[in-house]
Amino acid sequence: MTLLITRRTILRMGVCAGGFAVGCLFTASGREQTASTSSRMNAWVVIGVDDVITVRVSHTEMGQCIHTLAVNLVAEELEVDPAKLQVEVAPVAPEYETPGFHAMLTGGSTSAITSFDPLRLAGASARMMLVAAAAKRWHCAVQNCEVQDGRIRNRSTGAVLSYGAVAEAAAKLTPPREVKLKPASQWRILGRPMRRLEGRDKVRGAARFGIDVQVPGMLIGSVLHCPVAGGRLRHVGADSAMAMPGVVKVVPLDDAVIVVAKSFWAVSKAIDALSVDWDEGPGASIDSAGISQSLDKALATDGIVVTEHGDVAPTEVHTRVALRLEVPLLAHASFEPPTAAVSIGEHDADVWAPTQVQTMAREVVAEVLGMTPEQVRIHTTLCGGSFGRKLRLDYLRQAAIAAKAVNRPVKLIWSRNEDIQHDYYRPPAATMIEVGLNSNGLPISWTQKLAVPDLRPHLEVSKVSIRRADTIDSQAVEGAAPFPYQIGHHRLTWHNAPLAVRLGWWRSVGHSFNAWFVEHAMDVIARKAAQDPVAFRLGLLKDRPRHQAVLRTLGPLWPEAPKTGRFRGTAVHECYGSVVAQSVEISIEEGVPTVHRVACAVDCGMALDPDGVRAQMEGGIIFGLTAALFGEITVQNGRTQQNNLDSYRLLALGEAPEVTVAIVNSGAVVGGAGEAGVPPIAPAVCNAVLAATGQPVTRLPIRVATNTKSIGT
Amino acid sequence: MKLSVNGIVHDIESTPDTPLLWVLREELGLTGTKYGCGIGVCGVCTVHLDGTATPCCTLPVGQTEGAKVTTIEGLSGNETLHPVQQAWLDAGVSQCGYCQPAMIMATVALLGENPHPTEEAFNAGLNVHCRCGTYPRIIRALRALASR
Repeated sequence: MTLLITRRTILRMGVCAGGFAVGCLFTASGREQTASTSSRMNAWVVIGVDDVITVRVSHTEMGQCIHTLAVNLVAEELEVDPAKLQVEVAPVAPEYETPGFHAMLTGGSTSAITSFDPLRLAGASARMMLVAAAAKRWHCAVQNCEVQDGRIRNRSTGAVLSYGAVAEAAAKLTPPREVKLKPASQWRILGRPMRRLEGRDKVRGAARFGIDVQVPGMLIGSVLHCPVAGGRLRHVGADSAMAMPGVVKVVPLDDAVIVVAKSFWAVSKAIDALSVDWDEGPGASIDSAGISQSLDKALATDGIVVTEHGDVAPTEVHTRVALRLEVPLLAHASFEPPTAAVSIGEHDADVWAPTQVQTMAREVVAEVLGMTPEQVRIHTTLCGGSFGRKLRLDYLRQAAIAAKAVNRPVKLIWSRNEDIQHDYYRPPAATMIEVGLNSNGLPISWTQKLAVPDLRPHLEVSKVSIRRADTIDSQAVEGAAPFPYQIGHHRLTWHNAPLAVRLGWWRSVGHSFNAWFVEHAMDVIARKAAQDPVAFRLGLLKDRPRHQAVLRTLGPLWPEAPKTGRFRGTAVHECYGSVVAQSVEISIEEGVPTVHRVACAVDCGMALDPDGVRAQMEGGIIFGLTAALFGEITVQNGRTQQNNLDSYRLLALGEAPEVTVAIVNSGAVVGGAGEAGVPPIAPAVCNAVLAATGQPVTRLPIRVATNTKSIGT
Repeated sequence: MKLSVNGIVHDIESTPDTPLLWVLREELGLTGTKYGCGIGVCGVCTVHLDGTATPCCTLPVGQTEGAKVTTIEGLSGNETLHPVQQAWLDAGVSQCGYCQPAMIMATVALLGENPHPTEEAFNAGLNVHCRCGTYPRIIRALRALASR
């Protein structure tokens, strides 16, 4: 494959290419620098005279193994052993912006997709420049040079030069205008399991997350928010808190209070001692029953047509199936809570954070500190789970305010209470689906109304990534359209259901509920038509070879019939460029479903890191199961009723099913894996519940009617 | 007070009511032990107290005087890995990795009491949660360890 270097990639390479660079490694205090002699080949590849090769990574490592993949993408084309490469987290700079976002951003399952070409190009381009420099030194043609494992060999003389020996000369050359990338058939590294870059540090407790940052002289901050979203602080009585040992400052904000002290324990006790008067505002009237009613109210409006094709004569409809489904608010509950450390110097500032949005983070901190963005350095730490939470900037703004208020470095850590109670929740949603079947049991009409709050007014990141002018919130309807099934008449309308609750992106966003809506409804109508649900789907997916392939791949993973008392359910869904099918086997005891096994088939085009893809599927399944079985944030008098991991519980080890993952390499364009494992699991489980009880699940989390007798074990 | 952590006795300045977790993390700089829930339900702060797996986010440091605390940092040397850590690497368990020090500490304690535990014993003995959903691989690693 030959890729012409486009204007965009020239910019990416050209900004840093050429010249002898002195790498700066920031130590914990931020402004001390240690110099090392190295040559920057391009934005991504830095080669030291000591042959140490560093790959700069621009994506946040949140467990999706993108640092590992980045290094392996470069290594494949640079012809080096990936185990010898080291990683350096990129600063905020235009060349590290994620294509399509005009900012550094890790999200939307785009890490692998957006790294695939640029990092291979960077590796190949650097290799070509190194070869050219060696050829120049040997006064021979580049065709006379071959590369292997970080060394260049002169075919005529047998002379060998290491990359480090020619890196300085190579970096002064003009980057190639045309780069030939290896075809997949010649890959030695990609497509095979990869050694996890931070694997060793993570099992030794040596991996450094945002919450682990230690800056000399640092204080600890934490925050207490108004219990009602949109409420305001009237007055905070801080005398008792200030009198407590170690407490340095109480900082009132519009809607919250920050306390800064010498330790997290001192902060926690001081927060408990605050006497706060909140103006709760109109949000105090919001409750979960009202949210359901507002979804119904929205469903009763005309809505906006998202897609419609075909027509159907009412006389052709023999049977009608109608279904109303609803999902609640959900919290991210990433284990590392929102946290960031800020250290302010005379003319600049350093920020350490597990953020997914470095460019925006820099702007927000700069605004608080009255600096230009260029004066603020963002050091992206490892991220202890995010699932969309750290796409937001609230905690970064608070950390900057706290550091400014005490004129000392501050690490701000949210308590778990605040995290669960003041998350940016996955929006609630409801749907009305009416399907018309003809006399042969074939669906001929699918009319779906979808009530989901418009997420766009809730997103600060929107200015970089969302087209506000669009009539339809694409993330509200994603997964319900495009509609994969061939049904003569299909109509989808979106009904905005505005909600004054903090809302945000949650792993797989709109797909997280739309896959459940569509795929659970498919089983309900297959049952009505007295057909096997998988065969029923295959009959309607004749022009969807990828859907068919993943569904057919599940079959051999379940060669035997389910035992008595066990029930199976299957679902398939396409998102982020990947198609995933999942089947589950469950039993129900006293109204509680137990998921015993899950089989998953994933087509993400090409699995660049097959073990990483498997891990993401397994993780997505467990994450989605937690939501399907337990996940629910409820609101009363404007207050979130859950406040920790006892009331917002996660799946436990003993509740985890066996998971088998099969990878289907269709050769389609590389798709994302980080979110695609989540959407199919809820409908697969509900379809198994339907098979067991004959009753659809109309609301998540799954509550099987208690009059359902014990079914199997 | 004095506190024994990973074989070293420290003079502790934190007040006796401070949870052991925050003494480890903030006073001693041992950040491998993580904050999860702060109410002792998620297990992400699990350390060993005299060899027993114990969540330490609600355990006042004053109650640990005389006990031997072991954290993930004390489990193996710089160059070597504990067999449980190696099993974790072999099974490719870690995703974000935040909860894994606790998972590993809980597993080491479990295997110390029962080198060949049943699946039921894993499930009952490993009270650590993972949000990334690494359980299928943890089970694989545990099976490999239990069958040795």
